[in-house]
Amino acid sequence: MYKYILERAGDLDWMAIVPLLIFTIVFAIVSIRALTAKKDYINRMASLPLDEN
Amino acid sequence: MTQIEKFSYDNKSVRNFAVATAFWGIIGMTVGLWAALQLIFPALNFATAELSFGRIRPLHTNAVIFAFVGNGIFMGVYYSLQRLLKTRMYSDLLSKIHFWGWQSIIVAAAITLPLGLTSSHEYAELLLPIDILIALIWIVFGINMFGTILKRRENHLYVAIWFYIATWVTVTVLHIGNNLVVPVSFWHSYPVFAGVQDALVQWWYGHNAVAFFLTTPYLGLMYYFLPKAAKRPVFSYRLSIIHFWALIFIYIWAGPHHLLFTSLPDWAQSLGTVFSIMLIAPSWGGMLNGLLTLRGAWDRVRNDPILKFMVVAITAYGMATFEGPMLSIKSVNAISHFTDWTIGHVHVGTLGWNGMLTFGVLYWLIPRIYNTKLYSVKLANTHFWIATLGTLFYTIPLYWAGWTQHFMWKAFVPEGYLQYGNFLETVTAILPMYGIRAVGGTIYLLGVFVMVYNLRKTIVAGSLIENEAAEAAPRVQHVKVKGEHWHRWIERKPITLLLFSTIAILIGGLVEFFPMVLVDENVPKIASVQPYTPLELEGRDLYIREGCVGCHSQMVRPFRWEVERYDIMGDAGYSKSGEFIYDRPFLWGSKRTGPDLHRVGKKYQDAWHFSHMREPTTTSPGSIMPPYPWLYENDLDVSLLPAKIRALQMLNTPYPEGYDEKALQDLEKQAAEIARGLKEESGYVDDLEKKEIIAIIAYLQRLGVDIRPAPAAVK
Repeated sequence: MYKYILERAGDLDWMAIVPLLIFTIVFAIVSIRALTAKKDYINRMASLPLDEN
Repeated sequence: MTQIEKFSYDNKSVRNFAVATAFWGIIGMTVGLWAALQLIFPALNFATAELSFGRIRPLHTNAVIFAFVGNGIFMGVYYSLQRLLKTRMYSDLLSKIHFWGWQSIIVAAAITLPLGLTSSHEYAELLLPIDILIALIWIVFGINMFGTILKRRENHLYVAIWFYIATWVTVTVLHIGNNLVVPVSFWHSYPVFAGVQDALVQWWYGHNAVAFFLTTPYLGLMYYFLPKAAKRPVFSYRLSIIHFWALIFIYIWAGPHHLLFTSLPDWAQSLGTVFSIMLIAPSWGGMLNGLLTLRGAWDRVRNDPILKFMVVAITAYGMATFEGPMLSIKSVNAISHFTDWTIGHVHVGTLGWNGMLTFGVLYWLIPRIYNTKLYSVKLANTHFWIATLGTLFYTIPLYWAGWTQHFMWKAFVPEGYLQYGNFLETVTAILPMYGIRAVGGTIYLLGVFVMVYNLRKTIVAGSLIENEAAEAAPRVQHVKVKGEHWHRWIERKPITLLLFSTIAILIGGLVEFFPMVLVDENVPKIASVQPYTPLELEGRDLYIREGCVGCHSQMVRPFRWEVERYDIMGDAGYSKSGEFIYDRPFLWGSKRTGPDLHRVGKKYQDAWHFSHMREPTTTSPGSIMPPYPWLYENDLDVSLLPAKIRALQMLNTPYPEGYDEKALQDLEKQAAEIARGLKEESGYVDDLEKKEIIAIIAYLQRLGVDIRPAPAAVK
């Protein structure tokens, strides 16, 4: 069935475009959220390795 | 007030993995040095099959990747995971099984690879029984890691742990994907995919072995041990979030850059190029995050050898991850592919990034778990300079060698002929560079001995704290607060993180692979291409056993200078994907220390091959190819032939029904024919038709001839 669908799809450009779009969207969301995260949370996370006890 | 819980960290497993890291490091690098020396002095294989270049080269790569770096990963993960999660490893028994299981896999590899038991898939050479053992031990590691995560006292998962999780899940997927085989016997099997498809799966695996074994776990180690050594938090935790998701999402796509200008369909090559170039962004994000962590601490780098190792490691990571995308641009790849440039590039990553970071972590960690001080900081500084010098002496000559090779391969005289028509000229020209490379390797290895001495002295002076006492408050289940940061939700839920990472890495693999397998027109069939005869099939398996693919490619790229050199009859052209549909596994190779062999069929007479493989210098004076005397002594083992035919039939190779019973007859007939032709010229081997050399000659004479207009001409 998949074979049928893919053959019908004709040229495979969408195969490249869809993941590229997914990546761009994920990247944008991750970036925006990471950059707008609260400072005290970020500081606490960053100091985890240094927290000996 | 919260009750503080007392517990202990398991340092014994950390110590075991640390010792194994150093031990296998020395073994793996020594084998590498030996292989490098064989390229200058072929006699160093002592005419012994088990010690020949083709067999010990995979031993070197497997040993340094999976034994040296592998144990290094586990050492770092076992140390940092417990401390970041404020809990002991989930199970001491599983830690023990993991440690001894992994070492037994390495021993199995060290025995089977010299015996010629190889799949020929680069960095996945080990055969099915060992692959199953790897899968089991990897699952043990997974249970131990996720068990630890689940019983943690710290709510949040630090970024290093995300990298560990992504490593675990991706290596699992890669290992299964690249080892799908149909077994023929206990050791022997054929890959499910053939030719172009096999190549795509292999390099999806191969590239991501670099990405998810040599890179992501080490980035995790960087994010933990660098702040520890620098005594300051990572430069930007925000950047590390972006770094993580972008890196794992993009890396998985980049595999096809190993197959540029091959018979892989153009769209797949382009995807590989695009995503490889995109990789610069997250890679350099990670590198800058590492280097900037040292802001305000650079004065300490001057005195602290641990920081020095880490700085050079991260810098090497930055150089290698800039160079990688550049090498993925098609016009640059046309130069670098199949040359020593690739080997130089790889060693910037391995000697620089993996080696130096491992050394830094070892120097940091051993004194701590032995409750003492490093025996000699001065010696560690000496090691640093030796290692840096060794890396330079190793890599620079190989860059030079790579460019020399390329420009000699493609040089034409004004009359339109190749200037260096004899491939051997392009080999002898770079032997001095191979010599300097071996010197570089020796220097680097000497440094490791210095480190082992220093650490040994440290260990003797201290005593191992097997169970390091620690205390922490029990985990407080986080209650969702309105407006909390979204990533907290993922960090608190390791299984969700696992799931998201899996989705991120699967998208790339599936999108590239499904159309390749499912759409027939991606691999256009060529009517004249027929399955191998039984004798050729056996010869092919010998070609795989001897590791010929380590030096000889089978992929004539569509360049004038390649077609001119390799398509000597001028009637077959560059390699087409339809020519490889019966190739299980594909044997395109990734390095030309010797010439390409895809069009070697019927180029020479049988007698030439017969003399050549017994003593290559008789036909090619100055050749660095080793002699293969055992092929003239060993009788060809045909016991598996019927099973091989049946397995291939199962994989749709069109042998006639019931051919497994008749194959041996055909094999003997063809062998007798070749032997008869040889006896007239070199009639001094008894039972010549039964010898292995006959099968290899049959295979070589078949290469690339199907596509030529019949009858194939004899030069």
